Amino acid sequence: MAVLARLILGFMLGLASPAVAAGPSGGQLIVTPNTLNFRLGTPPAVAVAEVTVQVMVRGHLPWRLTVMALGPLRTAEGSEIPAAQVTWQGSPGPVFVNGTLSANHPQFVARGEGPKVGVVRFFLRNRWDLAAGQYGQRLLFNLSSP
Amino acid sequence: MKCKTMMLTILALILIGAGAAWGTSTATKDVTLSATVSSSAKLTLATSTISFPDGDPDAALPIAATENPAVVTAKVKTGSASTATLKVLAADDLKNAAGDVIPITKVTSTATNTTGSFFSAGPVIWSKTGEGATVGQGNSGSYAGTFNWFLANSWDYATGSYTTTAKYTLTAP
Repeated sequence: MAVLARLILGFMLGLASPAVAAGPSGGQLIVTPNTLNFRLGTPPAVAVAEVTVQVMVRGHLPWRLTVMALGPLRTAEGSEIPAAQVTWQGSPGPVFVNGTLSANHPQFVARGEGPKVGVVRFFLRNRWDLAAGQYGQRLLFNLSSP
Repeated sequence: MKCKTMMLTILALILIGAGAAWGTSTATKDVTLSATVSSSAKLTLATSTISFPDGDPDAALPIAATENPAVVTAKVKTGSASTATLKVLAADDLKNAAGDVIPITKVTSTATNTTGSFFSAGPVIWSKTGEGATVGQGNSGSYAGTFNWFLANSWDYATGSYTTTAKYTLTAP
């Protein structure tokens, strides 16, 4: 009985640990930093910001990573930059691929098996018709496993 | 009976636990995306000198500058609630070596917009006071057009070669 009780307790404690709750079959997704900051001065320079993505899964578990913007980049005054004006380059290939952000539609970023680390460099093309201001939006990275 | 109840409880806990552990097949991570767009302005004018030839004061039209038409481009990024402006400010009236004066208000400019709508059609009367005369305004964008300059002629002008300088200033607040 004591053994059973310890098993149950251990199982329940395991559920509460962040590693188990974080992803598929005990996998974890780590994206750093958690803020991407584009600084745009005089066009036509392109603003660049990058994140490092760590996929931590056990063994050779297959996984798929997508990213989605939760809308266009917006200022408090209502000016917008469409999410599709943000593109990215993923490396190393072929696990990480290049792509274009989409508002509310997940876009494929990477696919692999087992733990992997990659860099995703985001680009925002500068244009004269952008209104000056401070824009913001949230990106949602999603790691899934079949 | 007691043992059976306990086993059922354990089984239920395991099933609930298993559902929580394996039912989640995704992990998500939020990243904040921000972009700081700074105000900026860029102005190009195809000529840096404007010359008015001699003319008959009885002619119906003012004297056109020999540089007409000159291509102008204005590229601005400004806040959504702000307006970029292009102004021209003369340093002084037109003056000759003898000190004779042609008031700067005798100079006017017109503009046509070829890309976007930023430049004032005019005629705009030039000024040497304050911030000068406004020759264009608008929101963020890349604009192109042409400028034409004119001098109102008069029998009252003393002969001579008159000069002054003027500055075009594009401001994106």
